Amino acid sequence: MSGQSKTVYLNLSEITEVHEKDVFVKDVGKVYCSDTNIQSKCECIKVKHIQEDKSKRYVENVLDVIKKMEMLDPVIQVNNVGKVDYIIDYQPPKPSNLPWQWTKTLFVSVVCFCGAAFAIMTFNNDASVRDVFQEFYGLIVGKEPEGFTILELTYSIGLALGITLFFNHFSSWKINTDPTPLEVEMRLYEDNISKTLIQNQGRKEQDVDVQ
Amino acid sequence: MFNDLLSLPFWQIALLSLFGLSAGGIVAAGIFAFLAIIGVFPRLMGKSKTKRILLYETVIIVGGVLGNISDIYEIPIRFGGNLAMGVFGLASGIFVGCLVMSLAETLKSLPVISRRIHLAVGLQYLILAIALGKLGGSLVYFVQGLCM
Repeated sequence: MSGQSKTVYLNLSEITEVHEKDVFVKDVGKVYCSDTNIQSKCECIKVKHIQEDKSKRYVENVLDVIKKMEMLDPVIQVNNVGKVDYIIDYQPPKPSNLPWQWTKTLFVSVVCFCGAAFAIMTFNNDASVRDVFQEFYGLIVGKEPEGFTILELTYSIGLALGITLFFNHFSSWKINTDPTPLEVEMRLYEDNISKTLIQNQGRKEQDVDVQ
Repeated sequence: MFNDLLSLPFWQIALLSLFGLSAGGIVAAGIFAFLAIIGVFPRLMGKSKTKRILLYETVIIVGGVLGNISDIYEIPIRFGGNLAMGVFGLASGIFVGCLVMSLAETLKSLPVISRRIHLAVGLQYLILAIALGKLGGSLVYFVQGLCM
């Protein structure tokens, strides 16, 4: 069978978090070849050895991986079906600091809680929601309301329903299996970070660039 | 507070309830869609490297609902004193700070300005200047009583 080429399909993921200093092909993506021997050899190619100890993101190119694979055995033909530029996100292995994680989570929770409360309060005051309710009550009933009316009650209920529906939140009430808007935004944000890192790497401007 | 309501005809109660429910639903969708899309929460999560999205959603929902109830009904909390006020002030300040910068970023105002005047270096000082300007402006606004 000599002379016949073997196609290796290579699928790298855009960003991979690693904790080891030696990064292998199987860490950053998937490989398929009809010859399992070649496949396992390709999976064990080392793509990068990280020298620095601090956590850093490295932007790499698939061409280096292809070169290493074809050097391994001349019959190998690589077909790249994944990303061309990919990121290795190295984070040094460290004992997980649970109290610190929870402190950060608590901090973000407090900011989210107060921020949401503040946002709805500023809206209510900006739009003079109570004045509008009083006028609307007058329109329907024909006289000025004394104190709070059913409008405030139903408004508060409607608000709770609206937020819960919007965030598609409580799993037992979930209308469908769509991810919540916050999950979608989070993924978009991470995608944008990866794209910007790759583009920064690719820019070879001689002139001063935005630092 | 509902003594008055029991005397109202049914159709008026129905109409008022419908109005209140729809108003609440639409306002909630508007305000919280705005907050989610503008990118404050993803940024806070990304910066703190904590990914408890479900917990944060619960917190946002509870915060929005409780804040609305205490604002609409003017419920006195009478708890926590200066500490609670300090925490609320700081947290909502951080939130509004993130919000205004997210807004400026979504509208691409900084990139446009820096390209227009060919700003090459020192973008971080521009951000610092904006933050200090916000701090100064906010203090002047409250101290000078411009809000009165």
